[in-house]
Amino acid sequence: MLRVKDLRAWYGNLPALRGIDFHLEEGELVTLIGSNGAGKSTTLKSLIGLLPGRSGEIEYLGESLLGCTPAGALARGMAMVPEGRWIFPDLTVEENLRLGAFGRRGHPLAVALEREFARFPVLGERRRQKGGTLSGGEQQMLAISRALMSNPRLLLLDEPSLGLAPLMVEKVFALIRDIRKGGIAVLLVEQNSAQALAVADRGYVLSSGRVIISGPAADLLRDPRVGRVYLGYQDFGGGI
Amino acid sequence: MLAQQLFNGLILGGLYALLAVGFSLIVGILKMITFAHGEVFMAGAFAGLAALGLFSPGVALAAALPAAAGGAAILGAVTELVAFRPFRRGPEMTPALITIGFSIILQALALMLAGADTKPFPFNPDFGRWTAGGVVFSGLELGIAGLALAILAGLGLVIARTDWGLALRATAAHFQAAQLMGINTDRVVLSAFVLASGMAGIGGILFGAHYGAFYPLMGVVISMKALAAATLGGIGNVGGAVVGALLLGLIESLVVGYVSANYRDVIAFSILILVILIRPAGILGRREEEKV
Repeated sequence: MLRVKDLRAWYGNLPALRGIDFHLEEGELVTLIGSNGAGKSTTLKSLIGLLPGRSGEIEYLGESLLGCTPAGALARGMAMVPEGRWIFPDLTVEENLRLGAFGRRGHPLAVALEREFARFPVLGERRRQKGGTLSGGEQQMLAISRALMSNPRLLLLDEPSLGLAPLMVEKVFALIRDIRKGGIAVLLVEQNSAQALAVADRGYVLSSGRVIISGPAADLLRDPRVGRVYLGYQDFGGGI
Repeated sequence: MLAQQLFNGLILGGLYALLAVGFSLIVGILKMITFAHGEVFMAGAFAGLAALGLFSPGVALAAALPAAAGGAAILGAVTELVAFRPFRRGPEMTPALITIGFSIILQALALMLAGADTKPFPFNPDFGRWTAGGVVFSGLELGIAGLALAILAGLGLVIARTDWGLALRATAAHFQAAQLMGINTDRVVLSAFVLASGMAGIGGILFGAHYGAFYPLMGVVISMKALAAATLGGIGNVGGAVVGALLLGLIESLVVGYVSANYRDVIAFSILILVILIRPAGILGRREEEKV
């Protein structure tokens, strides 16, 4: 479904990705883990076209995405939940959701709205409330729900558990399982590697803009090298 | 007397508002400012004036409005494409400086093409005159106030109710998040400039009709006042710009009526400064808060 080869990206002149290779198949749940600054978020932003400075190959459903803007990726069924949620705090919950469907016109809006309200009843109850009045966990639900409004085939999730209370974190991971069960492929970026690997099929460990370890999630969970990543070793560029 | 001044203030405020909402739209979406808005207003006025000369008085007014809006909208689009789009990620001073250059060039062009002398309205726009409760309403004044308010109300509806308005609000709130929604943010910005400039152009022809005067520097003072009004209302907030503009118009006309015409700008701007000192974010503006 998604095949990435030698993906490179820059922030100005600073290289952020130094050649990333990975792949993801239809319906699969793959996680990218690694410490701060390893290039996980950058990988997602490059995939969807938020970072214009990129090179390499991104083959998605048989097409190259290199020339695509986020609108182009969205039209092909790739949606993203960014780190920090980026919900629109002054717009109502319903307006936030309607925006999520903007990129895929032609799909009936009302159907998608009802589906999301059924999935997240709290959003239905608060549909007229401003997004900024929701709690942190509810805002994360709104961000995920908004991305699902576009009926994606592949969902990019960037740090969905960041800053949430433990109970909420559990909910988010249960939700990720549900999404995947619904047939949507998920590319999950997480600092919380143990939990990410527990739900994922396969994983890639990133360090300094490169993939350093990859394999089935169960193997990575037992790999002592991976352990060092989430035991809090800071990545200063040397890798682990 | 009071009612008359209030009516005059409403007209003045309506004209300010047609410019002020443009400032708020542009600043709201780009967090950058244009200093060519007054000259867009002036160019719209002259485009409307040119159209007025082409037709017989009956049709001329119907032709002048789209000509003024269209001429100004084209200039606004050029401003966005040349002064703003290439510098989206750059320092906000760059577009500001380019638009200052634009405004000087446009003033000089108007001076060359139209001459320095003030042009009158080409015919007497007399649509009757009524007196009610001691207030004299001329048909022209009613038309100006009515059109300005109708345009502002229409703008409010478009922003609140349409998909385009939703895309505009999303883009103003968070550029990259809007892109993630599949919104073509460049197109939204361009359309905001076109709309802001079109309204300024209509403001220009209405101003020319109201005062019976068209001249190359006609946009200088009024655009500063409109910017002040937009700031007063809470810059970036379109409703606030309307409130600020109407308030400024009312204050000015009350000062003219009860104090002195000579001091209207001094007193009006003193009040503005006071309000901003008390509420730095403007009347309807709010301080930026970020939830983490």
